[in-house]
Amino acid sequence: MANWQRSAVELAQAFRSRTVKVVDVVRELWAHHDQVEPSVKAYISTFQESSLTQAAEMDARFDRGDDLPLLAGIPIAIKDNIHVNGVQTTCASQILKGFVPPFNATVIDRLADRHVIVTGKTNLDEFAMGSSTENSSFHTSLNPWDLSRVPGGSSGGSAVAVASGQAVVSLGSDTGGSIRQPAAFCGVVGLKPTYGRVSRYGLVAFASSLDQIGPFSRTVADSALVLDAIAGHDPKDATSASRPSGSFYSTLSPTVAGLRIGVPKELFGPEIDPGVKAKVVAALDLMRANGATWEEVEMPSLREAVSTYYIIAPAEASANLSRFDGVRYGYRDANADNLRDMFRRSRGAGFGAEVKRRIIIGTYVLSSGYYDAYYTKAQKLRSLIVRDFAQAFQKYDVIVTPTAPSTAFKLGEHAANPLAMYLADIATIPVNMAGLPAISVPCGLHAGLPVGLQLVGPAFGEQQLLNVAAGYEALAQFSAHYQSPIFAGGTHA
Amino acid sequence: MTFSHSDLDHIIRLAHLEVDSDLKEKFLPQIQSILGHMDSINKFDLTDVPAAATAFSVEMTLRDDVVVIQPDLRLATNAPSWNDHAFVVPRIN
Repeated sequence: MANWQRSAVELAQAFRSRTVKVVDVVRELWAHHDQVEPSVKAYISTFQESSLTQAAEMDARFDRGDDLPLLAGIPIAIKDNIHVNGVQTTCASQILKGFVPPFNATVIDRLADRHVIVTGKTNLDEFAMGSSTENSSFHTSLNPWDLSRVPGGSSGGSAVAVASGQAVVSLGSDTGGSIRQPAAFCGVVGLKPTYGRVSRYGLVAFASSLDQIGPFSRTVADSALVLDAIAGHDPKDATSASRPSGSFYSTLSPTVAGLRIGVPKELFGPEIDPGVKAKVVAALDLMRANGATWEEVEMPSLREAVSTYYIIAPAEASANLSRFDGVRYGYRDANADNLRDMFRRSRGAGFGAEVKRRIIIGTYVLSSGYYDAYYTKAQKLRSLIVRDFAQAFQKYDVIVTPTAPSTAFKLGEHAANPLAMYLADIATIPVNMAGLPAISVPCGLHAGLPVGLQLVGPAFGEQQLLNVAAGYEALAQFSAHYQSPIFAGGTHA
Repeated sequence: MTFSHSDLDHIIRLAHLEVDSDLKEKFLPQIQSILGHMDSINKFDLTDVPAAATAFSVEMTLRDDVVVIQPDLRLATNAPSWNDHAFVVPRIN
């Protein structure tokens, strides 16, 4: 096994015993990157030089016997809608051309306190709007399991970076499934924390009532380790929860025994590919054989979660993206001869088609005469979705669904039909609407492509969620069994 | 509810966007289809259901109101046009 193929937990132990040097891991990782990145295109920018300098500094500190955090020296990739001070943030959009943030996102400050090594900024759908990375204005990332297929989105680059071995862990953001769906498509672990668990300060806002930052990893323990670093109250984010977060990694207790699982009928219907359904049922049965129980449950409001989401998220996006106007930063059309034209032409040239479509929908549902018919009703439906989950958690410890209705689809398959693309998030969106934590873990291969199992917990129930995910991981051994050809073989065949 | 060409033009104007005619022709049926799908929310009786701006109430916490020294905000280097501590823009009308 190459060093870059090890988990963060394994590397942390190896760094401390001095059997592996940080600089060797980082050097090997970049050599692997040079081989595979042209095939999968995970990154928008990379920090090779600074990462090697940081790695040498870490080795000097380990050699001195400094007591360093477990994440010290671990290579991590960051989605390019999270600010890193002094490095361009693009959001994969032309409208942010040349913008260099003057501050770190809180999650970056917290990771820096733990001496992680940032490898680069990863690709995404423009402003995190999409499910495939095909809406990036730079390039489409490709699925390391099959280069003719999408990696999912919007955090596709962060999923690919981990699944192809170009980062040990990574950060993404999840507004309607943007961590969990690409994790499912790429065969890795993806965790969306409870709304408010992780600070959004320095995350470029898409839909402020739904956005949340979370980790990708190849093992559940690694996600717990990253969550330990990034979780906790932040006075810079007024919606950050003030409750203590504890240590998810050190208290991780893998188990499924005695677990009561509810499976919503509404997310297990004909929309779900039978091959995906079979793998999810097999995972449920494996947990049942090890002491869990599962049964179907009715949660009627979930059927309307996609409609609700595609009213609320564009409405919030239309307001959030009004700041991109060519005045203070980013792209400006130089030929406009008055202010109004400059707004219009800068935004017209700077935003891609999907972003424009969502701004139009959002502006429409907030406009006079339509606000109550769409926006107010959607907010009421959000209450019903919250209520259905709350009732389910009175009876069940976790809710389980397929993460996505299919495995990774072909490049361009949904390009002409945005509604079909939106419906790919049918199982992940309800979780954001209810603000709950959820994790996607690999549960098998269908026709050679990874299938994701989504576990949903009650608000601030990340510890139990991670325990269950780790319990399933111990039974299924997925991190050993489901490795992309690029990861397992070291190169792309 | 129908979403017409004139609705699309009106919304594009409200949103300060520029959309070329080819893209508008593509958008119109797509947005009609998306809004048609959204109409399914009308099958629920929502009369007595409260509207929720967030999933659950997160206690809004505010920072202490104290003066802090701002770091360099890179205003001059990030601005498309900057002169004498001000953003320069074209004339208003």
